[in-house]
Amino acid sequence: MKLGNIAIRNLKRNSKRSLLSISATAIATYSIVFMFSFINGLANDMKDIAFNYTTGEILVRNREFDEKSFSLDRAVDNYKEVITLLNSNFPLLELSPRLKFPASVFDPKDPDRIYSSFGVAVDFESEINFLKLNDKLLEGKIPEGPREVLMGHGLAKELGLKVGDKFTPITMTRRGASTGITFKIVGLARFSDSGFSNKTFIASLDELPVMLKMEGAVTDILVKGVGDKNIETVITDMNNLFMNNGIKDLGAFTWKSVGVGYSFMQMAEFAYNIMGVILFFLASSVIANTMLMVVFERRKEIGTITAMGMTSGEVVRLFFLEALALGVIGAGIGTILGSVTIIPLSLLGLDLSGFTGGIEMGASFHIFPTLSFKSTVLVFLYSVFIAAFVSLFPSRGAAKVDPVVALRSI
Amino acid sequence: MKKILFILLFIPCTLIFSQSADDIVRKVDENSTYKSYRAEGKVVVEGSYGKRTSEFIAYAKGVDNSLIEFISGEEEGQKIFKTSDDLYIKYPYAEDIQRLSRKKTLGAVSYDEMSGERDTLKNYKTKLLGRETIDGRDVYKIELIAKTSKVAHYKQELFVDSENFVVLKVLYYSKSGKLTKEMVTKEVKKIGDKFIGTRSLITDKLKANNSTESILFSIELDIPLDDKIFSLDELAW
Repeated sequence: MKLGNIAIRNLKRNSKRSLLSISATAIATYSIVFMFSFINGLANDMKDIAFNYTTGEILVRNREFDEKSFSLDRAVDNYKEVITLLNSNFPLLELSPRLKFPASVFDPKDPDRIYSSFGVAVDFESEINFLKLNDKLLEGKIPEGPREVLMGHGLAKELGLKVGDKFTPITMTRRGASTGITFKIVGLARFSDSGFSNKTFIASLDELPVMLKMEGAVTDILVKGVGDKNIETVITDMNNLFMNNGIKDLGAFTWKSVGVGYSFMQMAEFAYNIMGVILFFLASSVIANTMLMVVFERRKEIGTITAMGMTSGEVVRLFFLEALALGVIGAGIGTILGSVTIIPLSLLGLDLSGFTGGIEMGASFHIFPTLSFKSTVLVFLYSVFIAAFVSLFPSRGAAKVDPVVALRSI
Repeated sequence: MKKILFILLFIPCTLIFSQSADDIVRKVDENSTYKSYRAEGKVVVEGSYGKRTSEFIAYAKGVDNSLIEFISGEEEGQKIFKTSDDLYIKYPYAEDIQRLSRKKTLGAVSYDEMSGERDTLKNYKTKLLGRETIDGRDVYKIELIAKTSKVAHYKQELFVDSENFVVLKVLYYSKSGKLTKEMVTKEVKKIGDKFIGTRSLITDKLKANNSTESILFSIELDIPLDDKIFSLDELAW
């Protein structure tokens, strides 16, 4: 009889024990497939937020700009010329000039009570494509005049404002003087970025720089449409372009080097990988335990088959095949169940924004888990490999059983 | 006998000291209170953004009302109006008037300090700490402790010129006793019968390179000023 058939027959002989091993492997594989898909979804979510809201794929800004102190005096001056220069050298890229500034709104009844917010002055014509503003609009319209704003619905709720209301945020001019500007809310919007929805109002770049004493300047130019493979090359080309044109204060930075999104994503990936290893370890220990029990329970049988002429190598292969079969069935079930769960979730999404406690982490936390064919296949193969590998130790123990000693106990 | 002599000498001295702190502060307030006042000047603000200059015109009438209007620089178009109880600001691009916290600052100086304190005894308890010499001038050293949380500083130490009752130096302290700011009067001019500090420097002691220098070019005292200047309606325009 072939070893494979013997292995299958052995598995059927104690179906409960086999089922336990298969279940452990399936649960571990399912969890890992789900986690990897979740990480993919989280990474896509963070990229979406970074690319559209905070940095673009590449962020062009003054090299001395300090995010913490919001040093508006370290700006991108003559930004229209910079945009023209970038457009002529990189015609396929999408560009979004933005002037971001911190702003406080005082409670009219209590001047010591302050609501903090951010203003972003944008070119609405380009943002309709870049940020897909029309899709984000909940109520009202896209601003047309210089004192009109589109407000994040969360901020409007916090301030108790609605479309048609006016408000006066207090902010700083380029060189640190306080100033206040009265805006009319003409639209409310819901953005993927909770920071935009809950803290931000969007005004036009037409006149705001004048009010902030920042004529012709913006804080950032966001660049999209680069692609992961080309990003370093494009950054080098852009920095060379700036140097060659005497714009030494500007730099192009990858989204990974600015903002918190990427480092958070790396941290999440690391944490999930650790969890994956622990799950694999637990599943492997169940399989190893099962195989050990099998070896001890079947000592007499091992003695019999070795007395009948089966070699030590064949005994090892027999147990290895049994473990492999358990691994293939368990990992297969886990992979299939994981995929079946992920596919609808990748369309519907998982809204976890309520669990973040309002902390901004560069993600919307409305996550669409994404199944990656490559990582799913790898998880399957890895699960099978681990299951088969851990069986080697008890199998080698089985091969060393002395047939005389084993048969004497019959 | 010695005891009686000591008591006879000591009691009048303490009485003089405890009474004169209020008197000195009252004289300081009197010296800086005019029927009306108009001054033109500039502030030079130094901070993390470098140095910037803004020119202003200041008006005051009586003890309570004062108005500062910035006519150039980053603050151009701003108007700050102070009444006995409140502080308001009108920004050039704002439609409404903002009520300000008295702690709101322009560089190292709070708007409250800029528009001046002319009713010190209403908001502070006083104590005479002694006499010292600053730049050859004999000064009274007076401690002010805030009676209300509305004012910008819990504790101040004033160094008042004993001759003309101009405040030559002020040390500002937080409630925990930490020195937060220092004001030094660098130039004093006599206008009519009043002595006025025309150049002063306020340094933030908690931030490096953060100071505000205030320089007055011209001062007119007791001139006719329309009451309308000191109203919220006028501020809104």
